[in-house]
Amino acid sequence: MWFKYNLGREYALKGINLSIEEGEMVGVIGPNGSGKTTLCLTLNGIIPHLLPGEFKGQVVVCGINTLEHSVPEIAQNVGIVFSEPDFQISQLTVEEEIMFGPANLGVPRHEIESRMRDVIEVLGLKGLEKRPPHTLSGGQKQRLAIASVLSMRPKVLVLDEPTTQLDPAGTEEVFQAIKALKERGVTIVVVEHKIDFLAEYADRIVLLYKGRVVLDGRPKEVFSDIDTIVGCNMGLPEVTEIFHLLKKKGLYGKKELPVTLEEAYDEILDSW
Amino acid sequence: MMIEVENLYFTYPGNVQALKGVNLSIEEGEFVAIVGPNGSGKTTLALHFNGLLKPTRGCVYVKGKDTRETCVEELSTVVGYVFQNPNHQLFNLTVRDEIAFALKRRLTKSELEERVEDALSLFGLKAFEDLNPFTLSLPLKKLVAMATVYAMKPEVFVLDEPTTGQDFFGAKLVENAVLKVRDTGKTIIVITHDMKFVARHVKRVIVMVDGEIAFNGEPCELFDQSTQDARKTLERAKIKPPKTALLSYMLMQDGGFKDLPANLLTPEEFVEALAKLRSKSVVKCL
Amino acid sequence: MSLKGFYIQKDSWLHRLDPRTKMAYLVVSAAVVFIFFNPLAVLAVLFINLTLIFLAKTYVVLKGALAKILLITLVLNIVVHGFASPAGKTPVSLFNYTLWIPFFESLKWEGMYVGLVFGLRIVALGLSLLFFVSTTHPTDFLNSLRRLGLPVKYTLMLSISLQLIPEMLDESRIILNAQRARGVRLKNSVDKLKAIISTFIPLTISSLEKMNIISMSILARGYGAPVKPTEIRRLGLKPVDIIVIFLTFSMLALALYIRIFYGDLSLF
Repeated sequence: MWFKYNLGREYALKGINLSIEEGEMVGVIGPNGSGKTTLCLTLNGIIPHLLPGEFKGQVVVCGINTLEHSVPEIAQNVGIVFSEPDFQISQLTVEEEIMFGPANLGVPRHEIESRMRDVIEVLGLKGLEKRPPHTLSGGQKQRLAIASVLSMRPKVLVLDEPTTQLDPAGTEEVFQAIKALKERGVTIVVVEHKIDFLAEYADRIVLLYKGRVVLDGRPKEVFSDIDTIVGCNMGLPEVTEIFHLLKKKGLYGKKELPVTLEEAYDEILDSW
Repeated sequence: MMIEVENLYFTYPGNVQALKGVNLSIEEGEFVAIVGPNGSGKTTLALHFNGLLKPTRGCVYVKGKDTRETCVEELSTVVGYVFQNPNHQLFNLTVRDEIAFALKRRLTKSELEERVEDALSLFGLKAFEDLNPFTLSLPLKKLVAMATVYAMKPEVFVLDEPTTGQDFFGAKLVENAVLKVRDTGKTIIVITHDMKFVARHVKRVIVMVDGEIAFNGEPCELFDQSTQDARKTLERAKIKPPKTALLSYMLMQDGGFKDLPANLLTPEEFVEALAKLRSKSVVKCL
Repeated sequence: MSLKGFYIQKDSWLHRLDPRTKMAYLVVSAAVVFIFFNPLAVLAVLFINLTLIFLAKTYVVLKGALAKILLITLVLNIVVHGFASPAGKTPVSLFNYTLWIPFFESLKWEGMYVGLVFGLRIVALGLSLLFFVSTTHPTDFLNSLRRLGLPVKYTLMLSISLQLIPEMLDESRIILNAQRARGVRLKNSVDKLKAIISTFIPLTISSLEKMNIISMSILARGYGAPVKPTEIRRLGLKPVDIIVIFLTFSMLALALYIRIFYGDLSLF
């Protein structure tokens, strides 16, 4: 798939070939401007329907070709959460916010209510139902944004830098929520700069650089390719950095480097 | 003493008590970080340093001047404040104009030229001097905002979340710029959530929780997982130490690496310490 | 922050009226103030509006900047028309002292009268609007517009604007603070004006960005899907609504009657 914005000078996405299995969690990383958000927007039809441009190739999500259906239609299968919770929340209470999505899709009232109860449970929003969203903390607001998308029961959830505006506490809340959703079998695509989280929980990492997919594989595979990562102006998970330095000093020789704390701990105990 | 905060209380209109008896002193040339959850009062505290907020009770002295009796315009020549969103502080047509803006009324033409050139070169912005700030990328905009504040030659630099919301490259760019400012001898106060940054560069970290100071000391103390107090503080502030510190603690505690310090902060420190240990004992290596 | 517009949640029968009823009142009251050229007639509508606001217990809305703007507009109208209106003939003299400025000459009674009527009209309309906005839940408002047949495109735009305005107000406050920290002086009114103008660019750009995200969010949540949306809040015309609509249109009929047979009641 190729895409160029109308006002863009060159293609924002070049020759993207990507397939994601049901239930997978894919982390998308890359420097700003490499096309991550653009990619997310192609997954639910906002590109090309709302943001026109030159679109080549196709995007098929849950069996639906995004070119042939409107955004609200695709919304039944693909939910998207952006990084600024304030602009995604439009209703006056938490409850109303969660019910907004399914109401737009014409879901019957009693069904909406049961979905709402479920979603509140999963995202830990109990007790906040009648609260106006502006009284919530950053982490709560973002969980509300996720909840209000989840109530539409999408099969795929796309999160574009969900924790960028949050403090560590809020970030942790959102990551826990994403973990819980993964356990439920939701297919998740997360764009994040906080690669330590992705290294631990994602099944796959896709590195996007200047509109192209440069790396696509397991976290260990991707993060061990130090040269490519550094060449794309990206950083490494902290523990991987440690092992990279150990390798440079000749103290570690394996090809694949640990990417999580547990792996690092185990590897050090093994080697020494 | 550059900044002195005595028993500071601050309540926002609507009866929200944001600061509850804060006591703090910051000396000239220090590099301090203020961390803590959102809503703990970090920004509220920092806004007292340039007089944008005045104490409800207690006082704040900047270079000996009581902020209750000094206006913002005057304080902003001593304390430069770089806001989190550079879009809020930039509104001129070129980078050069932006930097010169606040100086126009105060300096002669040649002095102004000198300051602008100085700021442009310190931040590496010479190549962008005639561009419109709004067309620049976020990290560059942050550098421009920093340059404009720098040009006013304040003695204290307050940066509100400089690396938040950036990718790796952008964060590095801003980080390096902050270090350059530090090297010119300014007092630097950074509000941040980036613990890696704190671990690498900051000499003193202040943890705020619920309007009070919960910790005031060195990062290696704060991130030392072997200390109960430090662990409790981090829990209250909902902060996690850098993974390096966690790893060194785990190895020391459970892994039998009893000679390893539990509070190593950076990958470089860790590798050094591990290499030293290795040379002291017989190890097997893969 | 999603405090949508100026809606204030209270439990009064006026809040429970269908938005269409209140819209009807808004339109009729606007018509009535323009039918007559008499400050007393306009004051009558103004008084009704104030009563409605008090009955709905949303009077806190009168403390806001909007109320102050309305008052300033009233005074400005009186003064400007007082000097400049072509209807003016009789100069205003108090204790043998006449207010005089070059080109426009003196303040005149007829001009002040014109200004008073114009100004009061704006205040009355402003109050009608404040009443409407403070007692109507935005979702209800948009739903009733949809029921009246307004295409989704427009209700969507309205929805976005309703969200954007309080955001912009918040943001402009932060921007002004940020500029003060940069040494921008706010000591006199000229400086204040310059500062406000220089906030336009940052404000516009950030508003455009926000608008983008808000609209993408709303559409990604299914707004405008080709199905009949489920209404969470129940809308419907109740007996109270019928009575109020009837009273409103009676007021209109009365006004028209007086106008036709007695003219516009101008005192000059």
